[in-house]
Amino acid sequence: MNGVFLARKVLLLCASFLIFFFVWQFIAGLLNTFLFPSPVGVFFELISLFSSGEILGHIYSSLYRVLVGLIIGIIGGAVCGYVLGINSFLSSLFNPIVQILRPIPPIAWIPIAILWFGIGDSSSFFIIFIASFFPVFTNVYFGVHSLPTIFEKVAKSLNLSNWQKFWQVVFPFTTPYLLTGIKTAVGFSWMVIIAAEMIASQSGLGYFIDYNRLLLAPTKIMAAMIVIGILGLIFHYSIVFIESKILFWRSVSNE
Amino acid sequence: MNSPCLVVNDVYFTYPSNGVPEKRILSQASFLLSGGEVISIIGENGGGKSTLLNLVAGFIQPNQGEIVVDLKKVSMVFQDIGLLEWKNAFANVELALLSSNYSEQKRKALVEDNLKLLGVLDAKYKLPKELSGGMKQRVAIARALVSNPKVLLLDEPFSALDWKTKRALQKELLKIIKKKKIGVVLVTHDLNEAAFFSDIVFLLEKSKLKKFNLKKKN
Repeated sequence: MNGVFLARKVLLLCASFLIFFFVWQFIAGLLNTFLFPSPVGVFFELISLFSSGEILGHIYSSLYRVLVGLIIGIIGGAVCGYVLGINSFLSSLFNPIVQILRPIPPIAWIPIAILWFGIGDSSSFFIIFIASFFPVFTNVYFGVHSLPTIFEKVAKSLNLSNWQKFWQVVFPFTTPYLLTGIKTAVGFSWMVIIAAEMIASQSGLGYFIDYNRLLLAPTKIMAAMIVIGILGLIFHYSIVFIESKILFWRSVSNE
Repeated sequence: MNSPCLVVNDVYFTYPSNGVPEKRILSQASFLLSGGEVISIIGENGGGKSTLLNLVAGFIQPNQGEIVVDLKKVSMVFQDIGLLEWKNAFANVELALLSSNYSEQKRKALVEDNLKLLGVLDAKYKLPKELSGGMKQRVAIARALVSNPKVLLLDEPFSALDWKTKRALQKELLKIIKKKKIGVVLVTHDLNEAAFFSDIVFLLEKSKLKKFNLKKKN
């Protein structure tokens, strides 16, 4: 049963990619312009970029920035989410500020980040921190507030200390919320790193894309875009895999 | 007669109004509970039976009157069971001993003894989602008993069980309660259950507790 289900899933995945590339190839053939490269052209460009090593340094730069920014953002968002979620006084004090800052798009922070941190890694870390902090914070905060009253009562009736209640009840209960926040943060991070690198960096996939725009090389731009998509996909499925291991006690969707 | 393990003395309780006219849930509620004794509170749904248990458990405070009980010696079995979904049966029961100073070995022995007592030792590594309703309730009762309470509060713990499972569990629990001399307050809307299980039955009606005379059927 599982084998049949898996085979069906793989087949559907292959079919969806085939349709995508067929439509792309069809439009490229119809337009017949170098500004809209065909998937075959992009595929050979990818091979060339990897074999020459031209894109590897840029991938490394973007990965490094995303990982560092994400780690700081996730830790910051989770800690603030738990503290404000648990402590109603601190929540009343700081949550309004968070709610004012939250709707500001991370990209809007790029100019101020350049002024504060200059061109380079630090401004990218800051932008990714902003992009990942809010989804993690919001999900964790909401998760803590969703704790069923019955679990509150159980913790109290079992005389658990605040610390025990957090580690035994609150943290495990909110783990799905935390992971949802992390998944959203990863998506946002890949979106903003490209924008940030286009403006505030001398390396990275965003810089590579913008540089090749100036050189009128759309095949390289599209090749880099595909690399970004694949990296985002790897990140997403890594988290889904970790989620399935951590959340063994409930069913996890494969979305 | 033993000295009481729970004293409820002239307790009044009204939920905060929030603009809605206040509805008194309890007035002049008084009773004594001794070790090994079972008191049942019967009454309509929403009549304040669970509120009384919440007051005894210390989740909420009375507006007036006093409740004398050692909260560290009170355990509760909830209607919603309240097993933590991410912990197996063993870990759920062990949770009740985390605040104690017992060694890990002692904890393990106590947990296993109680799971065995309730007949669910074989399911100790199972998650709540893998247990039937009756087994979940047995694990919840084991969790309530493992800390050796003096007072056990039962909030309609048998309501989701079929008649046969319910009666079997009630018999076993009654045996344990009498043997360990635990004072029990059972909240139920089932008169038969109250009659079978209790020494004293109170009817909670219009916020007042009235003693109900019943002859035991078992």
